[in-house]
Amino acid sequence: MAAVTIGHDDHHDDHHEHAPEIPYPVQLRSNRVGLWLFCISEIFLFAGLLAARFYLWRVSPDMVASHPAYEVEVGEILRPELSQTVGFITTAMLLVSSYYMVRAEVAAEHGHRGRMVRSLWVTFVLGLLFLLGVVIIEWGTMPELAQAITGHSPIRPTDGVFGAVLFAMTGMHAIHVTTGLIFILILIGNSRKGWYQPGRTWGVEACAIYWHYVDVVWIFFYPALYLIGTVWH
Amino acid sequence: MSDHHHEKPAVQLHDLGDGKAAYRRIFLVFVTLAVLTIIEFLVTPLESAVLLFILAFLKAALVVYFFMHVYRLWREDAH
Repeated sequence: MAAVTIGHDDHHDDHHEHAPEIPYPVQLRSNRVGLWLFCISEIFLFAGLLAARFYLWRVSPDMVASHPAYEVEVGEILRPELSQTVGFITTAMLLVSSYYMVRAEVAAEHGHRGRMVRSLWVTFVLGLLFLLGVVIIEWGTMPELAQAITGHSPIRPTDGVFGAVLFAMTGMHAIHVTTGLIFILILIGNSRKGWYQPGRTWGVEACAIYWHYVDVVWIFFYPALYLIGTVWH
Repeated sequence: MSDHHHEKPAVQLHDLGDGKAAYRRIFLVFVTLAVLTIIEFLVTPLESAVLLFILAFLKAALVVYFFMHVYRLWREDAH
């Protein structure tokens, strides 16, 4: 990409200094590169959490000594007791929300404003349900309800490495989901003002990339939290 | 990037039809992702972390390519 000069112009007049107009495709490309760099930088954060999960959720010699009845070996990968049903349903919600987000993007690109707004609302509601599923059920914000649904007591942040890592992973992800939800609401507000027209949909595209990124993170978190390892009671 | 962008429309207006093909494509990708998620859930008793990670990478690749349009980073036009 060639440089775009935004420097001094020797021929400017004293009263009106016009900023050079950057062609939209150049702006768009720069925006995309910037957003992707942000996404790449965030990989380090989530990869660090995943590394902590696989390093800390293992059978230690202390565990073997304190639970002689358990048939586990030192170093075996573990996971906490989480509801498989809740994990699957919340994952499905996020996946469907991702579909509706890309549907909104396609609608924006083709000038289907009504469909775009409807798809954004569906994305928002599903994202909110995902968030509530994590906060209410997995975090045990409403312990009785969580226990009734999952059949076991929710894990607390103070429950050793299981609680600490689980809350760090789901908490960091939940913050990103919340940001995405705010982003979607802003998008809905702007689209009602007619901001996004075919060919000028960077706002929708940026929100979609961010939302899908949150989904990609969960694609790795879901097996790491719910599927991989032996359940440690 | 040269000045020729000034002479062209801001975007390449090559796909401003009803978008049926685009809607169909994203739906197929979504169905594939759903099937992979169900497979992930069903193969859990095999206790294979490698298999689960392969499935996760496959799903992530589909999302990054078809939903996040990573290929647009290398394209000159706007869409």
